[in-house]
Amino acid sequence: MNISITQNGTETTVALEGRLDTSTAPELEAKLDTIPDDVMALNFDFGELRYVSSAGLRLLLASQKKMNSRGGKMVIRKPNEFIMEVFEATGFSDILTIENA
Amino acid sequence: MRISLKIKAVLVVLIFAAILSASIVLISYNTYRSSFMDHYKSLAQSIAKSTATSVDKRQVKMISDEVLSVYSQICGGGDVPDFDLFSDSDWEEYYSHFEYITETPEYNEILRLLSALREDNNVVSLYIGHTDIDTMKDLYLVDASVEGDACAVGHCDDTPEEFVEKMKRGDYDFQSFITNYEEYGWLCSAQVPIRDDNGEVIGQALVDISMNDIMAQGRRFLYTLTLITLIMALVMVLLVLYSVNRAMLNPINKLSAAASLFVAGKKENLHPEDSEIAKLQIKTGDEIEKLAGSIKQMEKDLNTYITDLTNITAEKERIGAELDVATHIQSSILPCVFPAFPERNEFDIYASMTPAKEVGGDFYDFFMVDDRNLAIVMADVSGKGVPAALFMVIAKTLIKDHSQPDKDLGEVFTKVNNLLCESNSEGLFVTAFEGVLDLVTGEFNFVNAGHEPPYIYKPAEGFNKYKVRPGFVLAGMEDVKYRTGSITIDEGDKIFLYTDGVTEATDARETLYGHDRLKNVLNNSYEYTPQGILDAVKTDIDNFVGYADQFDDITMLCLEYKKSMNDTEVRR
Repeated sequence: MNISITQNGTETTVALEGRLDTSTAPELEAKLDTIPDDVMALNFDFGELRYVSSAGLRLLLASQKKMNSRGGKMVIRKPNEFIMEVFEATGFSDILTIENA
Repeated sequence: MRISLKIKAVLVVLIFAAILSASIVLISYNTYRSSFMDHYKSLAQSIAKSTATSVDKRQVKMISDEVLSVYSQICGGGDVPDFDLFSDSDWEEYYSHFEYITETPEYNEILRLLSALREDNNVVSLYIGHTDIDTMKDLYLVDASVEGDACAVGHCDDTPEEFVEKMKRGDYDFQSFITNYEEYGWLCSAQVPIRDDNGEVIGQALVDISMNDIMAQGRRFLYTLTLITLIMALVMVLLVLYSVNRAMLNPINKLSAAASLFVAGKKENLHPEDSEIAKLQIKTGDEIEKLAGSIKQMEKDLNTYITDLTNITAEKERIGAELDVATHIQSSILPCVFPAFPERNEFDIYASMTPAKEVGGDFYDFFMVDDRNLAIVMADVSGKGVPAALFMVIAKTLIKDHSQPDKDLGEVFTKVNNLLCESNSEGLFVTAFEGVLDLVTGEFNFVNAGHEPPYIYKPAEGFNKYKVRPGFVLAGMEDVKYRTGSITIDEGDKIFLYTDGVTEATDARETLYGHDRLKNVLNNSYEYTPQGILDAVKTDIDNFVGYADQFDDITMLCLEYKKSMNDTEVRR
């Protein structure tokens, strides 16, 4: 999986490419930990992401909780059909902000 | 091929000794030879010179004149006979013309003087000759050579042309030279002109000194020298062998033997100070002693390393054994005795879990809530390993504990969710589906927390995915409200529950197994018992995945509602 993180003021964009599963989640977790505490807008670009497993969902949930606790906003952009199904099946679509544009 | 150091050292020394001895022998022999040759040349020259000065010039002149006059009578008018074709009798005849000269007192006086001079210094022949430049012949005047070798008066030899040319220019200054003829052996020859008072050349004193003795001596010198250097080279080789053995090979062999016994010593459990390497005593004071020191240090480091490694391995084995026990306990928590309810004829149930490599977080459960209500649970804890396994145990226990008769399933999950959130420091979550079937009415109440929807089989329609309200996962967020759904199940219907390990099983090309394949295999095996259906699905997944690794637990449950329970049977 390729992870690229762009920092723009208090806005961070995390673009993911490949599969976010048990074997790649620890790498993403380590990178997410380096995002500064003053970031108020966290965007995940899922345009090139093919697959999300429960290990990936756990990271998204943790990030969402972190952003909620500091009053920030987290957005998931352009998830593919499969990932969207996962979000809906797990109820994650109720708590995540998802944008398809 | 391995060549021992000993042989290598010997070869080097031999080559070195051969080069050294050859140069010593050649240089000294040549120096020796040229020095005695010079000595002989000057000796011959000085004998010739003293002969030339000590003879009476007048007597020489007289004999020279007599010989020449006889010679010119024989060869007068350019009529020179071919001496090369002379037979012995021709020579006898020729010599007889000169014989009267040997009677003269002048001839005998000169002969006596020459004989006296010849008596020392290995002189072979000493004679006085005269060169007739016109006919290019050396004429013998008085020859005092050793008995039998002397030539008669008047005897003639050819004069080499370059000598004649030289003499024509008046130059009688000849260098001594050394010759080696088979007939005479090694000779050193010299010639000096004899001049009268007017400086006119009247003859030449010629001397031949035999060098056979000295040349033989030179050869002996060469042999002795060669022999001595060979012996010295041999002694050198032996010395080198001895010192190589002593200074290098013995310590190296000792080192090698000790090093090869290292593992054997370890197996015998020798104390480190008693090992062969530790006992080595190598005091050569050179690199080999340094090497021995390094090997000793290496042994110490190895020992430390081995001790550490042994401890770590033992620790790992202990942890591994405990993990095995954990896996075993985890799987034994799940109901695994089938048929699970042999006394029940209203339903048949079967479930299975195939764990991935390590302890995972999937679980299923089924139990009678009361006499007429059967609960089935399928859940998946996010993550892997011990944290997921522990969380799974908590989740399973909480769900079972809170599933009470007449209690709304939505409320059960709402309560369980809040309890799980309290004990969730790792940020784990659980997707779970629970359903309760009323065996009397066929009413199937269920609640879903983000889990895969069930497949329900109706004889008229086959297996179909039954869309249920997803609901949010358990332990994700506090105070989530879960709502109960309901459907009626008829006799002959089947319910199939599973985790995402089924639909997301992956082959080598990362293709997912997916819902279409699942639905297909279910509908091909709908008439089997629950166990038969699960076996069919598992086989289909295995064929699909092939040799790819299994990443996730594969967990399935199938419930068949065979016939409704008679209301009167319910114990009140």
